[in-house]
Amino acid sequence: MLYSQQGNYVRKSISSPRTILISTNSIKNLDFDYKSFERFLNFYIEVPRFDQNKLPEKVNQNFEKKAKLINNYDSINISRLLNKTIISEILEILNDPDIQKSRLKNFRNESQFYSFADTKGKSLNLNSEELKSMMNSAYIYIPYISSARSHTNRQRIVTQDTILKYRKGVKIEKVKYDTLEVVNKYLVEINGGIIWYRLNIDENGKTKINMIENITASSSSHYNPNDYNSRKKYRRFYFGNDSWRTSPEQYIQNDAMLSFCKELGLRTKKIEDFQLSAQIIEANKRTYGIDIGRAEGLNLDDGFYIYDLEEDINGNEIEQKIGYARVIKTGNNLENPNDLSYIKQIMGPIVAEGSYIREHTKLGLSLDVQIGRSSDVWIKPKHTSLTFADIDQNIIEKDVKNISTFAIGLSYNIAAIINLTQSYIKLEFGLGFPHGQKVSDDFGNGKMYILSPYLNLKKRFGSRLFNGIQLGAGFDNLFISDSTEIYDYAFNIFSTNFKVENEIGFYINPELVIIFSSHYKTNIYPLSVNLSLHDKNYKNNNSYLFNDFYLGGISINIGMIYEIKNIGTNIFGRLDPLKVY
Amino acid sequence: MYKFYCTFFLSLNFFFSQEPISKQATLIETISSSEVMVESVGIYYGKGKKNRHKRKDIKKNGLINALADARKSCIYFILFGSNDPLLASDEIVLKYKNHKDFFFSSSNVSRYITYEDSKIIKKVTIDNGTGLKVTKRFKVNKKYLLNDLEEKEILISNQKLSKMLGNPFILVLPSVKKGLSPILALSADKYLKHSATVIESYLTSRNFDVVVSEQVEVIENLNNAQASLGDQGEDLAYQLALSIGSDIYFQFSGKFEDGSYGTNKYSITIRVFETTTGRLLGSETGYSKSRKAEKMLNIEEAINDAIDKVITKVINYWNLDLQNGIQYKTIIQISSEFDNEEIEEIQFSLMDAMDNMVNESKENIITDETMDYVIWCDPIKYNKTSKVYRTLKSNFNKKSNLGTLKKININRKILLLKIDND
Repeated sequence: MLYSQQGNYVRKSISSPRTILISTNSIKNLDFDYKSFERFLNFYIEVPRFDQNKLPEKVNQNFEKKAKLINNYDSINISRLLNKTIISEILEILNDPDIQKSRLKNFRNESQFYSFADTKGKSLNLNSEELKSMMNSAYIYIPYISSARSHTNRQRIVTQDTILKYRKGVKIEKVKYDTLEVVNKYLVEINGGIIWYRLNIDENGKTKINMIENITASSSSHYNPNDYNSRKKYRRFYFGNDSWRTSPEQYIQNDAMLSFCKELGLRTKKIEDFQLSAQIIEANKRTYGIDIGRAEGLNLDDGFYIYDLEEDINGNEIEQKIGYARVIKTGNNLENPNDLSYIKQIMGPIVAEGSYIREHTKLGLSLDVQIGRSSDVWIKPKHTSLTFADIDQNIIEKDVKNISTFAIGLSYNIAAIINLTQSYIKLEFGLGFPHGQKVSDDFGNGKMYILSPYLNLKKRFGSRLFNGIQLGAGFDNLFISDSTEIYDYAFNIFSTNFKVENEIGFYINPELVIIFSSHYKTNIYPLSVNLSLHDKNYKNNNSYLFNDFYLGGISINIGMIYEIKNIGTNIFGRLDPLKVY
Repeated sequence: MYKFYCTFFLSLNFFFSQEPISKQATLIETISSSEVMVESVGIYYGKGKKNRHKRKDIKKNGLINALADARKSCIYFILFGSNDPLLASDEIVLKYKNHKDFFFSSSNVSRYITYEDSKIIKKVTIDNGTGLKVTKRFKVNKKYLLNDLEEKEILISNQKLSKMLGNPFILVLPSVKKGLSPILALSADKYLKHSATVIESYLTSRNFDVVVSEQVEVIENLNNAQASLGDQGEDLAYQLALSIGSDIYFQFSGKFEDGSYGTNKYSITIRVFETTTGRLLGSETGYSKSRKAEKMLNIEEAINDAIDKVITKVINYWNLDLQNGIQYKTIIQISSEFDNEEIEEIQFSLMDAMDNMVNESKENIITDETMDYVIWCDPIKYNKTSKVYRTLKSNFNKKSNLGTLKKININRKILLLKIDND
């Protein structure tokens, strides 16, 4: 009797005819980069939790040839096509004794390794129940693109030409104005999905294909062709340790493709049949041992819900969600099958061995929003002195010591890259509004704000209630600008800062965290002080004035962190292949 | 006061009883002659006055206790459960009751269990969270359990039996069509040969004496002797067993059946007969899992599935038979030279001669020419078949003047005799 220990993950085998179904007219203004698309698709779909059934090239070509004859790619037409072209090949693979032997352990439970057949019999063949399980765990996926196109946004700009003419030896300057249309945005949008089929093979070898899910995704990416650096910036696309030369257009297309395939991969992992699960086989307080690991593509900080079964009064077994845990050590079961992975429960009551876990798939990206208040900022009127532009006035009249802050950040979990749990790289964009500033009358109602882009490294310690330390480096830009009858100005002080942040957070649920943080920011020195006055630029080189200029200080914040499910664009995707732990 | 004491001690017995709560288990596989794989259920009910306390107890102690109960349940299953439990009769169960705590002490349970899955098959909270039920697989060494049962004198050991009765001699033969030779079938069919070898190997590992016959000629004498009886004349296996002198003979028949996904499985029927009477002692079927190829493995797996259950029946039979003594089939041919009166006198004398020496006897057939008996003799007094013959002859000579008792063929199971008019 083939039995299943609760929570046992049975590996599935997947096949694909390596053909992307694209309807006529679905690609517009785009030289579709099939090679890169396939590269991303392989990375995000053919993940270690699956066994791959490699189909011969001849079979793939046959599928592709016949697929081109189909006008309408609906699930029925595709399943007919699959039946005609690749099913017999998959059957052959599944019946291959060598492949069966190599997959044997996936379909055997623990005690079966101690059975007569395995011990004395040294059997290397699957029995009928194991074969049934294997034959019915084969899946086929067909990627398709419903639309892939590029757009350009154009902007009409005014150009001026100075024409020099000489009339009777006298130089005459004449300014000629014209308008010109330039492309200021090149955008690539990709829409499509993957249709997942399950191959059912009955005991007499009869096959049936059932569509189990049609997952869709869409993504986009863009760049500004007017950007002087764009050719340099987009000349090479990086994906993990891999990179290839690109034009800016191809780069943007690859960027959108990566995001598209990443989303498909995430949604594939969410399909119930494909979700990783395991039974807790070791329990020590809130740390549990599980027997899935690198062989299944488990990574540090992956999340799992914990379940238990409960029998109701009618004797029905009901699944109860008990808590939530994340991976703190990934077992290397590729080299040592007995190397367990460990998870730490961060939510719910402590459970014991026998409880089981199921994957909570996530992107590994989180968005955090914080508001707060910074004190000890020193912005004195003298710092806004415009003497360097021959104006003997300060823009502000009163000292600014406090600012209100608003920050939005995007954190990417790098635990699986650096082998350190709860480690993040965070891009942060802060906005500060000084309190009680008074702008001199001549400078109108000049709006004063501080823009602060930062790059942070963050490490958390703890469980549901956690403590985090963050180190960041970035810039703080103080802006004051207005246009009055007297002055049409834009003043800014640009400084480099470092910060150390301490946070205390609490998981409301696995996707939402409330945090309280305080950081200490120190600025090195103003890098530059600039003024744009009536279209003329001035630079203040009197650095001695800024000895007591300080955009740092202590800040107290409160905020929320939300686990992002879908972003539609590529951020940090190039780091995904580096996740090995 | 008496009632109070009774209630008190009963309660004590309930609370400190070592027997499992669940007692639910299933035999998964007989792995070898000494080991079985059992899937058992363990139950633990939380302790405390209120449900809240019980739930708390379940969280704290539930799993450990439920698993301990599952371990005990699989031992309990081997002792009492399945088709052929080790403790089969009331008398044996009564003996066991004095020692039951010994068998369920945690140290002994751990000793009997030689393997335990690291994973639980199922863990379910029951009774609104105040109880816990777990299912797990264990490999139990039945031999350790048997040794302890024999040591505590709950069961009689094979060695003891062999000292008293001698080990039972067992012959293993395939089942063949009437008139065909099982020996020839064995040599012609490699699967039958393998089956016989597996059964013989299993029996020898359980300390039974297995006799092997590869000659058909030995049964010729018996053929002639039985010709007049007319029964079982064509059952060569029976005749072979008798002629060889086995106490018991195993007959098996098996075949391959097509399974799903191009696999095949083997099913086997093993029947055990008492040699002297041809009485069916037990019959079991066993099935292998369906596999591609690996036919020899399938055969052995199917035999393992069936034979363990049959063996228990053999042991029980041997235990019971021990009480009567050693069994002999006695066939006496009376010469046709005697007239009816003389034949009757000879037969009465023979009956008296037998009654004087046997513990028990059973008449099978009595015709004018043949007497077919099963007799049970004291194994201490008659430790050899020749002694039985000598005593019977001397007793007969004392009782009758007619004819002379002579032997045609004797072995450890049969006395084939004749009375001639010398």
